[in-house]
Amino acid sequence: MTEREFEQRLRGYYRAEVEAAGRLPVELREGVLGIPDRMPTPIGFFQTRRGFVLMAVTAMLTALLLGLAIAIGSGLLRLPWEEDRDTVLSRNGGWVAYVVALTDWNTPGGPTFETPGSPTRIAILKEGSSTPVYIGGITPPATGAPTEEWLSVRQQCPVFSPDGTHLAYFERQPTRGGSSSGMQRGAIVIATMDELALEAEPGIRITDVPASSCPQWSPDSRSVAFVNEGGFEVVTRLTVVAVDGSERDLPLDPDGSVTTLAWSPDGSSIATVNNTFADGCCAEGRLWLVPLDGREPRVLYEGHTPMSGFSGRWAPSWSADGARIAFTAAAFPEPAPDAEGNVPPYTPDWRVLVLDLEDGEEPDEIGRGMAPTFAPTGDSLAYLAKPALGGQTAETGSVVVVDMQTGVQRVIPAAPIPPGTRLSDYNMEGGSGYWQPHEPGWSPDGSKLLFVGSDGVWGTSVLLEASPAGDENPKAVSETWVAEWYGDNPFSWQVDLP
Amino acid sequence: MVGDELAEDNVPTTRDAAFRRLADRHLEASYRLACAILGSPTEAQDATHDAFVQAWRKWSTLRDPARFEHWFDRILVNSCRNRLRRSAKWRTQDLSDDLATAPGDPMGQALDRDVLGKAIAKLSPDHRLVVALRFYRDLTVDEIARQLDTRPGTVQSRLHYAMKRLHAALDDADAQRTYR
Repeated sequence: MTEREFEQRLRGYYRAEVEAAGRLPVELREGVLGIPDRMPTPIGFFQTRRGFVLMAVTAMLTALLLGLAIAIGSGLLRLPWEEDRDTVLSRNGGWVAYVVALTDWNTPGGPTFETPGSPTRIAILKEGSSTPVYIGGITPPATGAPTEEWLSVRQQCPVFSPDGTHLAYFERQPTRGGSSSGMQRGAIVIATMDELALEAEPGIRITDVPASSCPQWSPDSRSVAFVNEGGFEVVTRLTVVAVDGSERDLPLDPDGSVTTLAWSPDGSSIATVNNTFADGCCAEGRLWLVPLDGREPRVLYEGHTPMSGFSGRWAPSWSADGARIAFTAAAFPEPAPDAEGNVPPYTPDWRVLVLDLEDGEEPDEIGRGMAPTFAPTGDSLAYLAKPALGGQTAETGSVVVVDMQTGVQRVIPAAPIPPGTRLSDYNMEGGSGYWQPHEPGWSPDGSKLLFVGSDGVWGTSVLLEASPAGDENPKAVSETWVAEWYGDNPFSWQVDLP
Repeated sequence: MVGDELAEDNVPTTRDAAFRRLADRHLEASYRLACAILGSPTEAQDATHDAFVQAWRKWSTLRDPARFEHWFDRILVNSCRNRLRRSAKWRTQDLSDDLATAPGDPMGQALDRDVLGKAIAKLSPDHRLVVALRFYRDLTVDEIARQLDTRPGTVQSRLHYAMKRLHAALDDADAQRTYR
């Protein structure tokens, strides 16, 4: 058989094979021609009843989730784990004021520009709202790069008046620059606590007298006392300015500089710290009691006292009955030379002292630390212990509450619990568990403590609320960061308004 | 050509209509090719249906309607090859029923189909493909190579060995027929 014959046989085979298979079955023809009807396209699928139902359900779920997101974002709806936040602040709509630094402002919606001048703004947080109100705003006045003047504004030391109607604060003025004493210079500003006016009106500057301390309200809410820079001299004075603008200086040691102060609960006198520079080591300071009725001031304590008037840790604190004053003083142990004979600089060893004005004895040392503050009820004292007590590390310090009757001291936990639950908003890693507390402050009724907590690893800081009993971990209450180094700025808690 | 057909008939505007028109025109020929390759009407029906389903899904890859036939044949041949490869054992069709009804020289044709059918069924899938395309579709080696997306040399080689085996099988059958 030749090759050609063989190929013919193969062709014959296939023809016969195909002939034997017969014609195309009807069911195959119908099946193939019906493919478009049985194989829906993505668009065609949604034109079917099942597709329409799926599309409708998807749309409804999307709308529901979007609505939930908007409600949660706007604060209209709170998630179960956010209910803890309801315990913060006062019952009748009070506010807490604190300081934020725009340099570290990385939260959504905040500025994204460089802020080399470290401008600060006062944030006011109201119960039930997670969005603070900022006095003077947090955005530049015009689009584009912020002006140097805007960047230079530094608001500090917000303090509510005792009646809750006003807020006084310090605002550094760009044109005034720094003082020869190294202190910041600015003006004391008073804002009326009106929710609508706060955002529009940054406050009324009550005096042009250059200030270099936080303002302190008189108990009757009619006057504000502060440290008067007194021109370009090193010496500073104590000045009291009434809300109506009238002012008067209080006479003190002309050779010393006033650094910090506190009104007595009855408003009859002011406790203030006055420093003079001593040779060799450290500033010598005196704690003064300055009557406002014209009597001569008298010295309550002599020793090493703090220099700055801006940090809340240095101000004296009166007990509610006016019988005792707690304040910070320092010991300067002689530094020991190292192996090579070099002598390190003097390092202050800060102590919290409590002076009884009636017994005339030396003050009692409560503990090593700073920033004492009496509870409004008068039976407790909170301070920042350094080195830390209890379970806190020496570097972080700890907030301590002292029972003034028994002397028992309780360490307040500093790390929010559960770790990372709330702080995931502020810290991508959920918090390091290494928290540094700053100066504590009391709620008006004495039931709560507030302090700024800083993550010791990541550097983020938030406002924390804690129980003075120390039986639970604090809760984060501010949605925004508080710059770490501004943690020692005092914050203020408004009383309940009627 | 399909392209000509489309041009003459005004190309349908919808995908459904275009598919139905082309499927209707090429269904019979596709089924026959599948029968030639697979040697089983049932398998050919399934392979043809599968190929058209694939064609529907891949419709967007057909950029030139004039090349539908070539494009679809590749899908069909692949479908047949997959079926052949999936079979663990190459089926040998029982042709006894068909033999009784085969037209023309019943005895001679029936014997050829019996012998060749069994020999083809023993070929590998790739060999079966080239033989069917060569002797049923009368494609050249180059055309087969394009259809199978392989080199002409490979097709030539597969044809050579396939023919050698079929030759041997047919010679054996002839010898046995002569001996009887």
